[in-house]
Amino acid sequence: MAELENPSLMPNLITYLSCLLQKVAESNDVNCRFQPQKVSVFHGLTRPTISIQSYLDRIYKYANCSPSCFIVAYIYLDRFAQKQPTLPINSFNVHRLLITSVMVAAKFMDDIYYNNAYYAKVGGISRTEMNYLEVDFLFGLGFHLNVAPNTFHTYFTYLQRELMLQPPPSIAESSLSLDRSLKVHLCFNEEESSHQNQQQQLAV
Amino acid sequence: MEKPRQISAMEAFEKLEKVGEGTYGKVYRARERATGKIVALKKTRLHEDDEGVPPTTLREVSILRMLSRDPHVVRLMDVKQGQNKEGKTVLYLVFEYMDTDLKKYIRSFRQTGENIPVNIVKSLMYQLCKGVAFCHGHGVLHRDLKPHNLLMDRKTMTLKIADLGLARAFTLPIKKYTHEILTLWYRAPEVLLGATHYSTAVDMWSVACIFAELVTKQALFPGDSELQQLLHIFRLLGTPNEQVWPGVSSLPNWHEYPQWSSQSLASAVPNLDSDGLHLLSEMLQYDPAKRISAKKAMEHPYFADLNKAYL
Repeated sequence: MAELENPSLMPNLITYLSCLLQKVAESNDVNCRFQPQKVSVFHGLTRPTISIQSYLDRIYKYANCSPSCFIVAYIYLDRFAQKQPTLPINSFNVHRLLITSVMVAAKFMDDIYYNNAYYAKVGGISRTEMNYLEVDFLFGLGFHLNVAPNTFHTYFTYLQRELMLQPPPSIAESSLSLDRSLKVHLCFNEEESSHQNQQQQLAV
Repeated sequence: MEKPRQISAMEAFEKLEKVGEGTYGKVYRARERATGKIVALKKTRLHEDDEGVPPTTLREVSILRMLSRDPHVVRLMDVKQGQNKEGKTVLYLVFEYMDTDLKKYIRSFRQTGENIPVNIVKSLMYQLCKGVAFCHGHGVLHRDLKPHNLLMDRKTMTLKIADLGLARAFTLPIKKYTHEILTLWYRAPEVLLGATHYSTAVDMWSVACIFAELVTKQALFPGDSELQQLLHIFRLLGTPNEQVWPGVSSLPNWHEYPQWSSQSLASAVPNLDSDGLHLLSEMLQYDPAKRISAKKAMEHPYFADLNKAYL
């Protein structure tokens, strides 16, 4: 993954991920008016005023984790969406899900990382809340934190391709129909299927 | 791994006795009330400080989640969330109960002065290699293999790898690995010399040290500092150089060390047959690239006469 060392890649990737998550959250905001949803610890009482882009930029600037952690965090969000279909990503929870997923990715992946108190400051929440979010996120994922190399590769290649194809804002629009959530958008059947299968899925 | 809603961990289990204490909490032998089954409960404190869920717990659970089905890796049965007396969140890791570990087992022989029977050493070593091969096959480095972390059942002589708190998936690119890993005595020379991108070979070095210890009942390299640890190794295996280990002199902690020539392994590990000594020497190769893998070790002639049907 030498590409990850490329200095221009990460800022673009961060921008792309922000746009993607924003589209997903907005589309689910529309949906949630029609569907009953659980309120989780990730659900803020109000919509945070900071944009997803600024929030993720901030995390990227201060977390100082391995670049792979952002890909892994994205995989965690995807897994979370698949395992918790009643908790779709929306404008009220996307910020808390983001800071938690990046923190958990860094804790799992990196040997040197910042602690929860630091991430709480970066994320603008209290330490106690950060700790609660972490436990709920872990149980929500069923502690499925390990990412197989071919899974990582599949997501990474997908993101790279999307980045190359076109500037971020329009892609999300084109590939995401309004009634679909992140889980449908990027549902790789990682554990069971071979790499070949995944590529076929991607091609569809 | 369901989040418990109705039944708390404390209602589900009856603690029988404390059997150990780790960095983050105590380990209990406990009885599952519903089934009467004896389990090991590893209690982990949370929310007490800035750290949240200890990274060791986070890694151990997620890694065991995928490795626990191997017969030579300790089985994690469940994770439960509970509260302690002060109302703080605790996590309970529910493991199958094993009655001893290799450290205690070796000590019991050291006390009586007997040797561990040759066929037992062989069986334990085979199971260890098999478990390590399984971990490596799933992209996991254990990084802290030592007798204390190898659980045993005395009746069946089954060995299981435990304590994967320092384990990590080695296959994804990260900034750099720490070298603050592994108990000193079982630590590979490349880690001692400061290599930041080490591999499965670090575990095989530990396996080698455990092998020798099973035979002699004494630690092979009992260093009490990083430098002493290296000197112990150099005194037996000879001071490494670019010929035996290309790249060694560019490792971060490399210095000019006293020059020793290698001693015979047979003198350090008497009572091991020639096949055993050959396998041991393959596991103690300086160059990590030349060190034998767990999978290859299982096919070594040393194990040829072992009945592997039940292992």
